[in-house]
Amino acid sequence: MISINNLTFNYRKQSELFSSLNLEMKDGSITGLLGKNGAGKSTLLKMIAGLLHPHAGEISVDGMTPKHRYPDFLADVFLVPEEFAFPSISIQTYVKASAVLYPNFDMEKLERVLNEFELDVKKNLNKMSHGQRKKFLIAFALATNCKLLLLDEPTNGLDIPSKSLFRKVLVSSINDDQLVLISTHQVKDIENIIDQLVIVDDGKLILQSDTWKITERYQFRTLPAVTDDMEAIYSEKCLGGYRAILPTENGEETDIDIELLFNAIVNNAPLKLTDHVE
Amino acid sequence: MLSRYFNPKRFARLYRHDMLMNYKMYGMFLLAISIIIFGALFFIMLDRYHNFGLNRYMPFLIMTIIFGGILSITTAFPMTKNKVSLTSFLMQPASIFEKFMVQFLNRIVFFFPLLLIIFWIDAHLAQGIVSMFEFPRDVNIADFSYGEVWNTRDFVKAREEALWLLIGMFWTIVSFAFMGSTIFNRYKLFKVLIFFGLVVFVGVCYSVVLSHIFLPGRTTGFEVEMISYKIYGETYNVELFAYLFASLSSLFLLPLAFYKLKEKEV
Repeated sequence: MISINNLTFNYRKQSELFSSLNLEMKDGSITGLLGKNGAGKSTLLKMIAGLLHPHAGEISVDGMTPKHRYPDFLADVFLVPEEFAFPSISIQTYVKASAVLYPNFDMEKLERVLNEFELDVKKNLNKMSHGQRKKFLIAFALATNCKLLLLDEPTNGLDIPSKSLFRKVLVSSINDDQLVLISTHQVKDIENIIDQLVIVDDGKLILQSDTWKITERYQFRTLPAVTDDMEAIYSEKCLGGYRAILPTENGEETDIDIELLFNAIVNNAPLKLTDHVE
Repeated sequence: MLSRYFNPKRFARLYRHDMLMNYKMYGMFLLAISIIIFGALFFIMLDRYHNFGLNRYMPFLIMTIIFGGILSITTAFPMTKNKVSLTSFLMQPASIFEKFMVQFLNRIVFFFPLLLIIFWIDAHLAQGIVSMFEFPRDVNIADFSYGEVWNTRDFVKAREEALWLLIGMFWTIVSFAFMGSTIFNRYKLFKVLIFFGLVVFVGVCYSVVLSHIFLPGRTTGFEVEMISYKIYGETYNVELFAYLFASLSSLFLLPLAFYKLKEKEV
């Protein structure tokens, strides 16, 4: 689906954001794109969407080059940006105007998701709260059935019930031939729905792995204390003791703690992951 | 392959999309122009002239075309004004050429006939209202008609070529303004006007320099001196240059506008 080879990019008068970045992503997954502030997550999404052109290297999405912005490419890629704006029209007018531009648009799916998000189609988009507008944009993005959905901080501005609703709706709305790439800092919001993790730091890819491969190898536990004989690979102090990454014993798996994993990776903890890029 | 650049069905959908998304903005713009034209005509008819002949309409018509055109064209591609709306614009599933054509049609091809219709309606409305009420002064207002305007085209009657030159120059300015709207993202109107002034100034300066180089004896100070001669028939070299400039500039300006739009990044 996405193939990035030797990508180099920097903003004008700034140091290199990416240098020789390589990345391959296949369809049929929800991938979390993580990184520190300024690591280039949003920039990477924009380059995959064709909004920014790489200075060197190649990006290919489903065999197409994003920077050409051919209509067939744009009809199969939907970006939900962190910031967005709508004209002063109702949801139904927006849908009437925009749905026809997407050949695989599913009106029933849109109605279902809008119902779940409790959005009134007669309401003017500019009279809705930021969170409501974001929910509408997510609903619209899902209904386009685009093969590639790029979500930049999708849970920013959503209230707590909406965040859980977002997870439910996302998982139930996507097909096996779609790839959802989510860039976020709110790792807890997507922890249970992603099946692949990509971490970028200092312009390099430092981790790309399926989450099941991580949980197969490591446990994420809260412990009252961390001692040497526990063979903890990484630990952090938390309320009630320590959050620690331990090697999996007897095949006993735990839920993944992405925040802990992220901190372990950026602090160079000795994790041994098959797809871990050194 | 060609459908990568233009597909009539997709273009129709994009055009409909643009209309549905922006109908309020377009409607308000046309309404504002209608009110301004009506107001100007109404008060001038009322205040200044006992006899308001066809020649009195002409300055208003010319000003309407100039100012209306400048406003419409220099505010084309409104979605390029900031990164947020530019993202939506660039992500619309249509080719750059189709996006270019939507604005070209709305801001130029459909706008000017619409502007002329609005002017005609406003002229008749103003005339009707002023005549209907029995104002103290006895006013005699001529009917406005484009047929009459065409028949009294004094400015080009002497030489028919002058009409084509005028149309060519008009088209060059339209193309220039349209190109400007793709180059600049914010405050397009002001930036295009400044840019236009700058281009004219640089052009004049360049001509002054050439005049001093090639005609040093005849040129003094900030002057443009040209050798004028008949290049064929009754046509002078300067006229030929003006015709070529007027007719060929848009061939450069419109592709440049397309290129600037194609290369936009957020």
